Amino acid sequence: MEFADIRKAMVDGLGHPDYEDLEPFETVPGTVVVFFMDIRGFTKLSIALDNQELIRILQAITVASILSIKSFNGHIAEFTGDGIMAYFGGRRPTSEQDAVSALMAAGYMMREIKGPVNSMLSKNGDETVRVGMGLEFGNVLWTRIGLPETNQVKPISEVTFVAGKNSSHTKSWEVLLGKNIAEWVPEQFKEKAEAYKFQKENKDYTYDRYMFNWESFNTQLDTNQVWLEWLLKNKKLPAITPLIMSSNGSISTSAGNSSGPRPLKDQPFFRG
Amino acid sequence: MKWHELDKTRLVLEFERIKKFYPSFQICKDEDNIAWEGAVSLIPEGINEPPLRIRIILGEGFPVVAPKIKPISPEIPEEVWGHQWHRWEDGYLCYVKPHLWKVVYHITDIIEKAEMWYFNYLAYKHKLVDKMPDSGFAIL
Repeated sequence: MEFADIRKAMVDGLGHPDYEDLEPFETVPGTVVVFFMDIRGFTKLSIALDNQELIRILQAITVASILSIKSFNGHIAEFTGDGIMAYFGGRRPTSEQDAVSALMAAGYMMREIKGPVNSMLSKNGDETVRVGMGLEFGNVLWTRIGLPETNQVKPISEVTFVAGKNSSHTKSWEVLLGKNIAEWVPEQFKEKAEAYKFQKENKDYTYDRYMFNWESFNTQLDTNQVWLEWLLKNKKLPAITPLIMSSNGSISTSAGNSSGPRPLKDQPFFRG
Repeated sequence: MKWHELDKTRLVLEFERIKKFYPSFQICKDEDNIAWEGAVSLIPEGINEPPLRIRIILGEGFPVVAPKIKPISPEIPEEVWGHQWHRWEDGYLCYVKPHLWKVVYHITDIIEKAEMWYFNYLAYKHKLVDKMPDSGFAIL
């Protein structure tokens, strides 16, 4: 990486420090918890409010998000316009501690935005906001997307997109968990939510999701943090079959390549 | 900076795989791009046609963007393009829908697919089948 790039990365602080050395097109398998937060109804606010007020709202939410994510050892991936995307976990396999941190950040951020941030906005005469969040954990393929001169490090897999979709599907003050992270969250802090369903090429797909009961989680955290952390760290994250990069550069799961891409010879030709 | 300067390992990997599985294909340049040239020769039985010489061109975006396959000889008529021929208007063969291309596919996979394309093309051209199949080999 050029010095200018390093300096830029230090200044904007976005992305993931463990993958800053990725070259364009290079891929590294990993696991991560992906976190999204969206301000609900922000398009409507953007039409109804003047730009100065929009900036004050965005700044308040963004600062609260950065401080929350960083205080729980997460990494801000990017500002999405009306929210943020963040990662918990690094080059090593994602640990229960990473997942605990992600839940704590979600609960903390909800409380901060609902309480002090909105109070401050209201006190200044600005519109208050409502937010929703989405989380998922699993395998990703880290890569640097773009061209050599314009690019960004991204974790690519359904994990990223499910977390993003979850966030956009929430109502105000809801946190929607993907099935992988939800499997690990204790029953008392989750409720089954509507699955994400779609159809592609006549095949039905269903992705289970759960609502995170962050208020109950926060209450436990306030009253008995030691017990809660013990409970969470003693429950193993679901075993996600790791992605393995072989010496010939192909990527597969250790259980075989049944979930890998369809061979090129079996892919259709252009279909108009 | 070119993709192969950023990812020399991938270049070596592709080179070694082609040398092993398709030794008749030779590395070459197509304008500023790295390419491999060679012939695919899977021809339906009973048809007298020469092998198709092709050039697989690895553009700036490889391996994120799929390489292009340029037919060299015999010449494929300009008007032979569109969905029914699985060929782009600019003459390149269409061997995979662009969004279905994966970074883990190799040039050897493309050669295999080009073999399939030529077989299907000849089968259709000689009216052994009533359309080029959307996937797989034409069943004669």
